[in-house]
Amino acid sequence: MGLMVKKRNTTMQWSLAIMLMSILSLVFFLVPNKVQAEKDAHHEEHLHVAVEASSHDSHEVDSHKDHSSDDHAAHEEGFNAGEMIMHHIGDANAFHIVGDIYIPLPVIIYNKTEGSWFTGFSTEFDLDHHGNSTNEVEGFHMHHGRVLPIDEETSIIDFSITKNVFTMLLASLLLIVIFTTVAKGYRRREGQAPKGIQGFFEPIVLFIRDQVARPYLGKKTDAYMPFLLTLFFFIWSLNLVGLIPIFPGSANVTGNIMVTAALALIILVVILLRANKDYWKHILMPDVPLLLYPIVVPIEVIGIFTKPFALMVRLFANIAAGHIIILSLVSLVFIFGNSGESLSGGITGGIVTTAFGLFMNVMELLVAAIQAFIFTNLSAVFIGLAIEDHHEHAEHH
Amino acid sequence: MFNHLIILSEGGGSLPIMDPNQLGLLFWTLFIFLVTWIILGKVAFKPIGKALKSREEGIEKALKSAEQAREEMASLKSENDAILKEAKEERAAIIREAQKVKKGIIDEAKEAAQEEAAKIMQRADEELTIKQEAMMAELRNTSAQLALDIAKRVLERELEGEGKQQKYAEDLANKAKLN
Repeated sequence: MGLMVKKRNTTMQWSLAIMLMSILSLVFFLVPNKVQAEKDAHHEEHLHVAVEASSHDSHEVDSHKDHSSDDHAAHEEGFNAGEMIMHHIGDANAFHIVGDIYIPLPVIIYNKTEGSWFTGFSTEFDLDHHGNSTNEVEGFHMHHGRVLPIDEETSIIDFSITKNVFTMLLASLLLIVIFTTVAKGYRRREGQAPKGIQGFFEPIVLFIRDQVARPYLGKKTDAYMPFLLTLFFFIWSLNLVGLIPIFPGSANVTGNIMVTAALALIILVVILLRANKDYWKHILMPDVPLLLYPIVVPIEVIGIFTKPFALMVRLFANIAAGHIIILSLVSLVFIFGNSGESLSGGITGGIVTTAFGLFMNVMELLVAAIQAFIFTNLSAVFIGLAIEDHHEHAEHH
Repeated sequence: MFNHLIILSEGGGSLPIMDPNQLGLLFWTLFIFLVTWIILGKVAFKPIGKALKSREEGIEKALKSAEQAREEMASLKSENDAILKEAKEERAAIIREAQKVKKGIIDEAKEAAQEEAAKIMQRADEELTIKQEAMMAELRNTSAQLALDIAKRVLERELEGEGKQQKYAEDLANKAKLN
């Protein structure tokens, strides 16, 4: 009986969570709509203001002007796959849903030139469906979904909760919810066989422990398990969420080099903090003739950084490439259909896109897991190299 | 149609996924990952790791104790077998003994019976002899009696007158005197 009640409780929790999410997304959905309706009325006016405001001599603003006025008509007619793809795989300060409907996100920008902060909401900008704003707020405007200073000389650091940051927060929350549930399962059924979600994740956890961590970390495996598991599930969940084509997915998080750079940086710090004497001796005082030191030592020192660098580029390139391929395939519909002018072309494009897009999406499902696994595996290898006992090492030679 | 892509990527910093100015994203990734690591480590992965380990140890222990139990069972079985064998031997010995005893009893009984039979035979023999003797004696008596009877009748016929009787008596007396 107790188990039944508990089960119902979890079901209730889940349905509550889902309901909350739906309400939240509904609110998000409706707010910009309303705002948009009001804004549409002044659309033309704003457009001119923006054009005038942006008639500086900078290239960036010029291109913005082009989008807004001269090229506007041409832009509407022709479809530019490259631009669309670059727009979609990039980070953005507002979450694009469809047409000119955006989910607003907080904007927090540090103005390096003036040493001031700009904070607000992305709803303050009137966005068209290209993510370009028709107005300006405190010297900022939005271009391709990014909040940028109108004066190009101004340098900024964007600390906003962007699309990618939002997705990371979501994935993180999801992981915490999932794994507290899993941990609860272990507490409730101590020493018993796993069940439900616990049973789904246990083989993965065991795989990471026995196949990924243990061969390289040996007896020290347990100390690194929380790190490696977090790394694996963090990357995997972000890869998977990125494959969902609609909100709250679609963000190309792990295909952004800043994200993978941050992960690589963490691994570098872990390696440097945990490295033992043998590791440093191997780098600074290798077992080679002194004459070779000027060559070997710099190579070894560079080697410290190439390892995380390789991790960074591998993950970024794989995921970004996947997103680009899928978006390219989607573009085929518009290219074949000549942006809606040719129905038969559109149908052909649709068939081709569906077939290849399905194939690529399934492929990306695999890639998502494989890249998370490779990242975690190589992290374990690099950490293992840094904490390896030299006694064992000596025996190999 | 993909010219724009190439131009964008050749344009250096304009590739949106490689924009070095997005340090904020780097910051947020670091922050979110570290927080996730700390929370998940504390709330989930450490307890899960411990639970897995203790369960594995429990399973190993159970397997070991099962192995031990099996060994114990085997030793118990061999002990049982030994006891059984002993019991069988004992049974066989008892049966042998019993058979010996039985045979002894039967032999004894036979001997006794034979002895008794012999005695009975002897006694029968003896009785038979006695009876024979008695019968012989009777036969002799009877035959003597018969002879006497016959002689008496013969004499009675011979001595049917007085004279004859007298004469016979005198003859007898003479014979007797002569003796």
